[in-house]
Amino acid sequence: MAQQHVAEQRRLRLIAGAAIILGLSAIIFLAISVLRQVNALDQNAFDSAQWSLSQTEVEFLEYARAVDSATPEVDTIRLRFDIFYSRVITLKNARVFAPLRDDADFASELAQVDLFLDQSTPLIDGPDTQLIEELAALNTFISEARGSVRQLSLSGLDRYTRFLDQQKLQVSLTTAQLVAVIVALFAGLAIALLQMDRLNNQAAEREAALQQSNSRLNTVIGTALDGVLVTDADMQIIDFSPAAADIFQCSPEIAMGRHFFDFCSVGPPTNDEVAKSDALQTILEAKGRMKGTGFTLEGRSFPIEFAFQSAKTPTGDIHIAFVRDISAREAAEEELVAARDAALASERLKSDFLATMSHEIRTPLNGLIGNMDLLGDTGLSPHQARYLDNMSASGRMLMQHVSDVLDITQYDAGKLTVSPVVTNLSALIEDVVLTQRGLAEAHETSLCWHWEGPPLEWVSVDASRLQLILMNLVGNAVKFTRAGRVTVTATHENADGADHVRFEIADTGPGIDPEQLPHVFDDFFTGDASESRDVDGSGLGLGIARRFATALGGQIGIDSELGSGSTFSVTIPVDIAEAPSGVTPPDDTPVAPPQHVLVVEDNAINRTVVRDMLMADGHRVTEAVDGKTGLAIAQATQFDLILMDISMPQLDGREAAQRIVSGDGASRNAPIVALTANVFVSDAPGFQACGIVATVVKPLRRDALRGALLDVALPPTISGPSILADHLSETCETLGPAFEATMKRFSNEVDVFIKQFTAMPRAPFEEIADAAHKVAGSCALFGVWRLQQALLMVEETARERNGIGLHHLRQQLPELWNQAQHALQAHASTLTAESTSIET
Amino acid sequence: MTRTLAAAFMAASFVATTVTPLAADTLPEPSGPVVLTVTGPIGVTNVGDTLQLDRDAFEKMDQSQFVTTTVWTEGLHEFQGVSLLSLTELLDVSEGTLLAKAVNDYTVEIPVSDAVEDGPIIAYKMDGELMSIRDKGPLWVVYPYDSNPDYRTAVIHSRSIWQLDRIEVVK
Repeated sequence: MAQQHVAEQRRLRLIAGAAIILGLSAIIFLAISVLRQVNALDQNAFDSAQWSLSQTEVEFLEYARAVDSATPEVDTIRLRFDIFYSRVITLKNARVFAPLRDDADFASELAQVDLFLDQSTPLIDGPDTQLIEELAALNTFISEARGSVRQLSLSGLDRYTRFLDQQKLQVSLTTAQLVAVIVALFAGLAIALLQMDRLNNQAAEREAALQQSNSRLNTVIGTALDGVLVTDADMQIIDFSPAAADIFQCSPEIAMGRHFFDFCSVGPPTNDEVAKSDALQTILEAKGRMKGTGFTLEGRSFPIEFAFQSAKTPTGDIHIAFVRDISAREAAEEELVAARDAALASERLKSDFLATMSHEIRTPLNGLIGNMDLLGDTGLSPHQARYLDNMSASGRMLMQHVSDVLDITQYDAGKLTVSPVVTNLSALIEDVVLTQRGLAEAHETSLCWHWEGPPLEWVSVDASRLQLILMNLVGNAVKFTRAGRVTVTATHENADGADHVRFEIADTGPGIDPEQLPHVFDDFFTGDASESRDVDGSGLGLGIARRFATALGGQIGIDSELGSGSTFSVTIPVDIAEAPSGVTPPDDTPVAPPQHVLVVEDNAINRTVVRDMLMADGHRVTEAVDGKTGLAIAQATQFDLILMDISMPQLDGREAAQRIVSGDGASRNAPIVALTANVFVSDAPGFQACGIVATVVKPLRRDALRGALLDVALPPTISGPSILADHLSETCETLGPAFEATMKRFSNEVDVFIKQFTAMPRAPFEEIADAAHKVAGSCALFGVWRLQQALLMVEETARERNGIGLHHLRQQLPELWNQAQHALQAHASTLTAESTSIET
Repeated sequence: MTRTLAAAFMAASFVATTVTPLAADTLPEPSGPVVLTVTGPIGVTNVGDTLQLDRDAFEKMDQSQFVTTTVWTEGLHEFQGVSLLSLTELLDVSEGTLLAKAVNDYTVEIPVSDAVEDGPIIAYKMDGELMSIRDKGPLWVVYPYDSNPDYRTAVIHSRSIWQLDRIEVVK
C-alpha cells in the first residue's frame, strides 16, 4: 500500500520532470527561434539597409549634381563617383542585400547600374582634361542610369517591406507557439502540483492512520495478558511488554539485551551454544503454539505456552514471542486428567466386574435349571411339582436378568459388534410375533403384524440384534396389555437415498405417565410400583433395546397416553439386499402329504417355531435338543426328513448329518436339510459333502419349509422300459465279437459311477453332473433306457443344485441299475440261445 | 558638491598639463594627404587644436589586424589598421563619444567604451591592399564580428562606418 504510494509518487515525479524538461526545451527552442527571427528582423538593420538603398540614390544624385555643376570640379566628381561606386559594390556584395539580389527585377536594375559604372569608370579614372571634355558623355550615362538607380531604391523598399511583413508574421506565429507551450507547461505544472498535493494529503492520511494503528497496537501489546517479547536476529531482547514483566518478575530495563533463552526454553535451561541453536531451530520450525518452560532471573521455572513469529524489518530480522504463564491451567488440567483416569478406571472395573459376575452367575444357574428339569422327571408329588415349577420359572427369569445385564455390560464396555447378514424381514417379524403369541393368548390379547406400504423383504442387517429389539418391545407390549390388542406395523422408509425400516409396536395397555416418559428407556425402569406387581422384569429390556437400536445406527422412541396405550417406534437403517437364489420358495406352496420329521435344534424357541409350523401342516414331529440326541433318535427311528440346525454345542449339524448318512441307522436314507441363519454358508461345499442335501434359511418361513417338504414327499418318477431290446441287438451286431468286452466295460463304468454318487463324502454337484452325462451316453449305446433317463435327470438336477432331487435319485439309481442288469442278462441269454440255435 | 567638481577639474588639469606636451612633441604635422582629422578635447594635436593623420602616421602606429566576414562583403577578409583603443589612448580619451564622420558626411556615434582590447580597429588595409573610396576606404571602422557575437548586432553594424575621414571627440 505504502510501497504502491511511493511508486506512484516516483512515477509522477518522473513524468513531471520529463514534462518540465520537455516544456523547457520547447520554450528554449522557441525562444531562441524567436530571438533569431527578431534578430533577423532587426529593425535597425532593415532601416540601415533601406537607408543604404536610398542613400545609394542620394549618392547617385550627389554625383550627378557634381557632374552637372556649373563649375565642375574634377576632385568632387571623382569623390562622388567613388562614393556611389562603393555603394553599388555594397549592394552587390553585402549579405543584407542577398535576398534582394535574388529578385530578378532588382538584379536586372543592378546590372544596368553596373553597366553605368563600367561606362563611367574609364572616364573618371582618366586624366583631368579628358574628364572635363567628356562631361557630356558622363551626363548621358547618368541620365541613362538614373531610372535604374531610382528603381533599385524603390524595388528594394518594396521587397523589404514584404520581407519584413513575412518575418513579422513568422515571429508572431512562433511567439504564439511559445506562449502556447508556456501555457501548456504551466497547466501541466499546475496539474502536477494538484496531483502532488493530493498524494501528499494521502500520505499524510496514511501517516495518521499508521500512527493511530501503531498507538492502538502499542495499547494492545501493553494491555495484553500474554507477555510479548521482541528480540533481534541474535535473540537479544529488544522489547519487553508489561505483561512479560509481570510473568517473568523482571522489569523491561533489566530484560533488555538479555538472551531470549534466559526467559523461555523449549527444553531444559542451557548455556551451551549448540543446544541454544538447536532450540532456536525447533522454535523457528514449529507452527502455532508450543509449550515450554519459563524462568525468572531468580531461577524459578514454570510452564509456559508461547507462539513464535519472525518478521523482516528494514533494520533486520526480528522475532516476536507471545508468552502465557499456564501454571494454573496445567495444574487444573492435571487434576482433570487424574479425575478422568480415576473415573475411567473405576468404570472399567465396574464393567469387568459385572461381566465376570454375570458369566459366573450364569454357569451355576444353568446347572440349577438343568437339574430342576431332571428333578421334574423323578416322580414328584403334585405339591413338589408346583414348587419345582415356581423355582424353575424363577430360575429362568433370573437367567434372563443376568443375560440382560451381560448385554448391557458388553454394550457399555464397547464390546458389542454389529454383524449384518442378509435377512428376510417378514420372516424375522413373524418369528418374533410367534414367540410372543403364547403369552398374548394367555393375556387374552390379540397380537398381529403387517406391512404399511410395500413390504421390504430382503435386507442386510444385524438380524439377531434387531430380533432382540423387537422381542423386547413386543414382549413389553404384550406383558402390560390385558384383554387388548398389540399391533406391529413395519414401514419401509427411504430418506435421502438411505433405506430405513420403521417398526411401530402399538398396544392398548395402561399407557405411561407423561412424567415418566423420558425415563422409559432408562435401565431398571419398571414403571409404577403398583402396576409392576403383576408384571415381572428386570427393567433392563427397554434399555437394551435402546442400546441395540443405537448400536445399529437407529433410533427408538415412545408415544404414550396414560390409560389408552403406548406406541413404541424404532427406526433402523438397512441395506436392501438381493434375495438369495434358490432359497425363495414359490408363493402359496401346496402342503405336502404328512411326513415324519425330526427337528434337531438346540434353541428352544426355534425348535418350537419349526414344530408349530410343521404340525400346523399336519406333519408328525419329533424334537431333538442337540446333535447327539438327534443322532440317537435317527438311529432308532426312520424319518422322512431330518431338519438339522448347524451350530450346536458338542456335536454340530454337519457332524451329526455325516454320521447319520454314513451309519446304518433307521434314518440313514432320510434327506437331511440344514437350518441356518447364515445364507452365505448355505451353499457351502461342506454341506453337500457331509450329506446335507439342502438348506432352509432362518428365520424360518412357512413357504420355504413347505417347499422343502414337497420336494421330499414327491420323488421324481422314472418310467419306460428298462432296456430297448432292438437297440441292444443292433449294437450287438455292430460290435460283433467286441460286444462282450465292451459290455463289461460299460457295466464297470456304471458301477463306478453309482459308487461315486452314493459315497461319503458326497462329490460336488459339477462332478456328479459331468459323470452322469458321460454314463448316460454309454447307456444310450446299449439301449439301457430307464437308467439313461435317470442319469440325465441326475445331470439336470445336479446342475440345478437341487440336493433333495439328487437325494431321491441317489435312492433310486442302484435299483434301476439292478433292473437293467437283469434285463441285459435276460437279453444276452436269448441272444446266446439264438446264436447257438443258428450254429446248431 | 562644489568641492568634488573642483577636485575633478584639478585632476583633469593635472593630466592635461603632464600629457599634452609629450604628445605634441611626438607627432609631427602630416606630410602626405590627411586621411583622418580628429577634433574635440583631445590630449594630442599637431595642426592647431586638431590632430591630422596621414597614411604614414597610421602605418607608424601600433598595428592591429584580424580576419572576419562582414555583412557588406563577400567571404573572409583580413583587415589591418589601428585599433580604436590605441587611438583613444593616443588621444588620451577614456570617456565620452566619438562622432565618426564619412566623406559623404554620414555620421555615427561610437562610445569611447567600444575601444577595448580585441575590439574595433580603424582599418586602412583589406587583404593587404590599401582601400580606395570605392572599396569603402580609405578608413573603415571594422569590428571583429566573427570572434565576438556581441559585434553581430545592428548597433555595431551601424557603427561600422566606412569612408571615414573625421572624428570629433565629444565628452
